[in-house]
Amino acid sequence: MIATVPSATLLGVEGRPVDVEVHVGIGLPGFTIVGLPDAACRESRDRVRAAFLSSKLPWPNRKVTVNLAPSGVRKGGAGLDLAIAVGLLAATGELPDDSIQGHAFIGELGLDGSVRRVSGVVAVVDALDVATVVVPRECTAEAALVGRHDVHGVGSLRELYEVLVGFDVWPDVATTEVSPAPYDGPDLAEVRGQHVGRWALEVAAAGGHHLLLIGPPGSGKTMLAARLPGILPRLAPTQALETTRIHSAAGLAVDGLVARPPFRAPHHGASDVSLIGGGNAAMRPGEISMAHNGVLFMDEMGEFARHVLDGLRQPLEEGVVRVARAKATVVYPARFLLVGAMNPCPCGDAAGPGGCYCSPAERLRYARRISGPLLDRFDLRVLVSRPDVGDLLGGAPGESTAVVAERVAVCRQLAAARGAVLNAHLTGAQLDEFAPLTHAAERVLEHKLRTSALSARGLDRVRRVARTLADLDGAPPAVDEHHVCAALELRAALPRAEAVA
Amino acid sequence: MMTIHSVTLDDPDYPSLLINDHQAPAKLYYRGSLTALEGPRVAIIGTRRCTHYGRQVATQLGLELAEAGVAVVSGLALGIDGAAHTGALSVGGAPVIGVVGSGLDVVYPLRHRGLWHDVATQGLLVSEAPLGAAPEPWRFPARNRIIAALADAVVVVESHMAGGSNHTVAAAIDRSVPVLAVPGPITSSASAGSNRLLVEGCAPVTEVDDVLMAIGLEARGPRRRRDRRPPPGPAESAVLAAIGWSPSSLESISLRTGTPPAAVAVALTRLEADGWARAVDGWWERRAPPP
Repeated sequence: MIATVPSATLLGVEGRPVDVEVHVGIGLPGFTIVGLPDAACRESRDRVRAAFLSSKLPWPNRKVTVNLAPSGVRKGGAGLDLAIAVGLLAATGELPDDSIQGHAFIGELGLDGSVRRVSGVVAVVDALDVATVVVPRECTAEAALVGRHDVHGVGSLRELYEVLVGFDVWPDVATTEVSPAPYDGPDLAEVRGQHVGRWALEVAAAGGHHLLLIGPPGSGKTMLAARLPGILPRLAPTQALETTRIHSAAGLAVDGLVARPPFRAPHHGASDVSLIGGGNAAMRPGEISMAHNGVLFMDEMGEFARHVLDGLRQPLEEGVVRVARAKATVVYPARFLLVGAMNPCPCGDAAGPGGCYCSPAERLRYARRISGPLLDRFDLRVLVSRPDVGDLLGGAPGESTAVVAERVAVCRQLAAARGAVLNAHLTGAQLDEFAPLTHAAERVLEHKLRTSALSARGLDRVRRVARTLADLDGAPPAVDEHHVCAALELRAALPRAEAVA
Repeated sequence: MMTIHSVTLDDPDYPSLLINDHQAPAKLYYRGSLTALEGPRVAIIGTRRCTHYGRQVATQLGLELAEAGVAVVSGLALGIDGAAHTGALSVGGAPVIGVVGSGLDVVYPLRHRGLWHDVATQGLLVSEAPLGAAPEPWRFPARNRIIAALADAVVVVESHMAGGSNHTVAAAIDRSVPVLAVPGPITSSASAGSNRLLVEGCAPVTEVDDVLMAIGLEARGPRRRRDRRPPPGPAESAVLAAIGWSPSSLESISLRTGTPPAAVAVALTRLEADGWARAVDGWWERRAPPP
């Protein structure tokens, strides 16, 4: 007597379908799981047995063999418990064969027969090619996000059994959407002063432009950056799915769908593997992939190892990172908004130009930590200075996150209407179409180009930022002089390689 | 003997320049005409123990400022103060303003009796000291704050490390009056204080144009070299003034002018294109006219 039940496990970012074959035959009573189960998977034997007994289901006193096909691929986690239990019920004839036709089962069993949630349900369900999927009740909404299946949630093995044999009907699918949790992070209103910093933050969010904040210690770079996710719009369902998958694959505690843009802030001691992804035993997505559709904040950017920083260049350009190892090549999505923060020079230069006590050589070394090509990828580079004393003490609070987020959302919709995801991704041809320059704006850029203050690549970047600025400014069809001027000014700052007179 | 007038704080004639000062004198005695306060005013101050160089510079600055229509404000003391007024009085271009520490009927220093009279006739001589008040030492620091309050800019020609000019400079900074200093030889004790000011970021004066620009007047230029740069418009001038004489970030310029950063960016781009300012790594600084 044999039964086959479809299920799936998580491998990397993707779910992999697994067929759970249960054979109940003559022989000494026993329970064997084959097909490269890991420890958690092998222990399912004891959980399933206890759950059977607690649920008052008959336990077969025969030889039970469970095979997890394909047998050559490692299976991990406890998510196959439910499939094994159902297979066992079917193989012993407790369930009619047709009752589980076209059903897949995912869930972990408790010893009391309850069905517990598993992580990465989204990716796992997505891998299944059946009509109906049964998942733990808490995961119903999450599984329904995939949208291709009939999803049923169950709370216990007994409940599932009653439904399958026809004593009961499926409990109502909890149609409650994954509640759009209101933003509860730090609010932009808490940032005093910092008019330029706030402005740059808004432009970065609206156009998806990478942002470099340069300023002395204590000037509020980190404070600003931490408020960026709040003004970004909520993730679209597909984005949320992508990000959720990555997070669950990376072993982060995924608590439902990642609905808000993630904010990742790796320490500057990060290795290239931790940042980019990889590793030898289990390929694991790096910080840049965990920041997919969100913000990667690199504080003290000058302190990161240079080869680590340069590893960012390809993902910044392509939105994915290809990690090649001897065993496998994996492509991780990595489209993130990069926010860097650094001091103008090693001493921090709190006093402003002229007050720094670094030697020119030290300054140069520090500035060179960030290579030219990487620096060039920042559309926005601004100086952040310590806030004005008046602003700190009793100045009027700035605009709140909600207000700015609204403007950002409008701006992003404009970009979407043009067919580009974000203004930062506009191609040269799209720029000509969507960001034509007024005569005055052209003159400004022409002067900059003539005096070699702007490179050809820089020109496109300035035009993209100018488009975003125009969008924030009532979205005129053509980009005007003041948008271009502001865009130029917003990418002017650099770590100070040479002394300012 | 000319008449000595007096005004009190609640008097409608009380100079509007002082009325909002946080240390406004309650009662002001003056000789001459209060109309002298109406045009642009620059204070030229410095040590009594000046060098020949200092005297020469003070005289020349006084003369050239007066030619440009700027009233020279000074304390009528020996040394730099006197030299500045002497220079200013040598041309009939603009009124001069003297602020003294003693009562207006007590001429001090006696050596400047003639100057005292000339200032009172060609301009304005003021004091907060009551008539008959002797030139006691404590009156001079108090006098210096009035000098700072009356001036659009303060030029320190020569000063020792610890000198009375420090009081004026402090009072000027307190009132957001720009302070400029004339560079001197680093070996000269008389220039130690003024050079210190330069070290601390004070704008240097190498010619009268530097002073004129600091108070927002058009540089006198053509006499020696023509500034071919197109004059900045009103918005640009305000931004240029806000950059001051030290590198400034967009944020600080925006704060100083009270203009949103976007508008400042436009002005900066224009100023840069016209050669008035330039940016180094995001820090803006003013540029001298091309030679």
